[in-house]
Amino acid sequence: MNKIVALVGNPNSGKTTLFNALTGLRQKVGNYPGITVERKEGFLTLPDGVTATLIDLPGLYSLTPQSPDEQITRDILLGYRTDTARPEVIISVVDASNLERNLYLASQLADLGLPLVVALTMGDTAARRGVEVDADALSQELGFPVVPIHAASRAGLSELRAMLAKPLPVPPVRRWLLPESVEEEAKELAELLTTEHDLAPETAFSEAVLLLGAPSTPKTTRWSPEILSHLHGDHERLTREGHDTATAVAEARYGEINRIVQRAVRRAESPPTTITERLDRLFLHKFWGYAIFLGILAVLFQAMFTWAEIPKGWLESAIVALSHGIQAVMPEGSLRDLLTEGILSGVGTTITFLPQILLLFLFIMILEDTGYLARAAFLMDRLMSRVGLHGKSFIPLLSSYACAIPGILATRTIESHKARLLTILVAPLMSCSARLPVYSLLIAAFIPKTTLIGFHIGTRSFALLTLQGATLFSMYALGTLATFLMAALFHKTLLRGEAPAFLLELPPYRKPIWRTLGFRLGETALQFVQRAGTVILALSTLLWFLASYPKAAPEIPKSVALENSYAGKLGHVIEPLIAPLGFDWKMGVGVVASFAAREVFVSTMAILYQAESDDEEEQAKALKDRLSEEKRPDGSPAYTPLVAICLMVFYVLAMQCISTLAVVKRETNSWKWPLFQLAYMTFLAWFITFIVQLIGKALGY
Amino acid sequence: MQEEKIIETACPATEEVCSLCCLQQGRSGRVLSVSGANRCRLMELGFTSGAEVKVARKAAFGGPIEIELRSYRLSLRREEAEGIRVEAAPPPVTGS
Repeated sequence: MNKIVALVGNPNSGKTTLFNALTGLRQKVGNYPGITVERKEGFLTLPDGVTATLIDLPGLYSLTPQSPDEQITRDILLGYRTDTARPEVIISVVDASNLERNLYLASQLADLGLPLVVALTMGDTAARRGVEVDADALSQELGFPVVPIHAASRAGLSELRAMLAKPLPVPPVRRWLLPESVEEEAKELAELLTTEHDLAPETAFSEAVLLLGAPSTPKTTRWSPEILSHLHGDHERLTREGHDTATAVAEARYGEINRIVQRAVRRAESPPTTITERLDRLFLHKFWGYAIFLGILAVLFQAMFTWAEIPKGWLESAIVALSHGIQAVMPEGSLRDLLTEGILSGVGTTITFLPQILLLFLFIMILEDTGYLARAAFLMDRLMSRVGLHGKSFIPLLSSYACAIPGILATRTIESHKARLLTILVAPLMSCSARLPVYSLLIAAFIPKTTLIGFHIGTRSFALLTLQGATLFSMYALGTLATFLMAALFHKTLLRGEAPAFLLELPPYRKPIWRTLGFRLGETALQFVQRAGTVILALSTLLWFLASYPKAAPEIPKSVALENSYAGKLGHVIEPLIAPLGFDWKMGVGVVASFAAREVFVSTMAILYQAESDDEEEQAKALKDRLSEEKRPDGSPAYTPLVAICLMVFYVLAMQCISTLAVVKRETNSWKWPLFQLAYMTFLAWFITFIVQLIGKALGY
Repeated sequence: MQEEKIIETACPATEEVCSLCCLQQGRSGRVLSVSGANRCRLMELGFTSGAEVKVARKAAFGGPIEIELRSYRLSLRREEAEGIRVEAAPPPVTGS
């Protein structure tokens, strides 16, 4: 039986660094059932040979449950959850450079009646600010052990491990008191909790204090109606008597903390100006701060769109080579087709996005670990908060220009669940790189190269902006506009209600620890590949099946075979739905096939219009000509500039990415949100395309 | 726009008791009371009455405010800082 140890601490207290330092690669990451809180466990061997399970609980400021993170931490620590055994020991991570606020949580943990050891981190940061924490004095005052830790140099880790192997004492009875009438109420409530719910006395008292310290009576079925009505009565009566229980609890704890800090902390007379402060004067400058931010974004974009293309090209050629290899060694048949046309083109195409994703994540992790990401959020929050988003939504949304998948994964940096969900819901509206091939094809085929802004030097003319460029820009602008408008709409309707406090800490600038960064990058890559190997594999197989069956005789041209396939029939079936948008069934097939990945539109169109070529560029060129010649049954051209615009608008707004839906499912831990996203985006796309089509017709196009 | 106006008018230039969001960058004060939807959380973060606070930085365009309290720094939106009433300390004497 493993010893179960819980790791609890404030956000930015160095908790995750400590977790990684203690467990190394022996980690397990998942979700708690039913909620979006990440479940992280690791294993470590104690000096006595016993293996301990270390549960990394979410970073939080207090046990008063006001968010899912706090709720789950408290439930686990109090042993309420059936899926997680109650921890036997708590490691309370306390940031020495932010001692008072960190001790607030430690003081709540000490009330729980579990053995407790404090891991005192960030001693170096504190020292740089002229603050010296005496760990022995601190331990003396608190009544439980304190181990100073420096995770990067691994100092203190073996002491901590040795501490965990020993039987640790339960923290002593608290030394602070609440105002008399509140204290009485807490005792009374604790007694009621003991009799009604059979809680241990110390658990009952800490529960009572947490309940009284909460802003209002919780809406929960955990407690019997008697408890809740008693609590409600207490709140009302104490308020009438002029006591505010939340204030009383917070002040009593901080009173005790002040006493402890006075004995255990020495501060320099005049604290030195830290490097962090100097850097912030530049990075948060009202002009230079934004200029630097834009510069960093420019590099990020450049990296995503150009540097990542190089390894992406290697992966693409590797997949093509593999596909040729399979064709060479395997006999012709359905299995070979499934492997090459279904799995390799579906899973393979997805895998080619890996370099982009890893590069983006490397950037984001460096920005996060150095502390810059919080500064970016500080700079951007005003803009984002207008539509209910968070300053930290900015980078995920921006990343979604490359691909919504890393963008959605990057929303993990947003602590507010509401802002995070909102960001996830709108991120796929940002025009991702998979839409680019669709735009390129349609623009090249149907939008004239008319110069809008240009100049002449001698006989040569230079175009600064062509109609084609303007169209491409408009599509990106439309996607961005839709992102913000939909965020505002959901903020006002669906996700209305009390927003949690916006709390942002600007941690000191730090050098990233490359080793942990490598671990995390590897973890991301593994997760992505696993997904490609499961969900995307299944879906590509399905799509391939739909497009290849019922099997046509080999002499029948591919386009006819596709028309008769299930996918082709599906195109015909949805034709009445898309006819009002000016699309015919072939475009319908393209739209359906795009669900595997949007760029599949180009290859599907190529098959449908028999513009066969091995080279994608050639294919696009040939396809372009075929598309413009395409006629409807009545002899009018199937594609007009208006149809092309409508198709593009549809692609800007529609949710046509199964991989994204799968990631949203994983990140929100329910099918509700991906299905909602699919529904609202499809409707939005249809509706806006319909309007564009009406306006276009009215203008005579 | 309207929001900003409200905050502006809620900030008397001379009063000693005002909202935290009205303090200018670099000025400090002492917390008197906390109100608003997140008052409980703010108190748990250390904004208890009597706590010393200092406006370390204000973001451009009405963005967040960075506040120094209990020897750490925390950024809040102006709407949240508005609910924190403070007794302003006299402005710091600038050296020479």
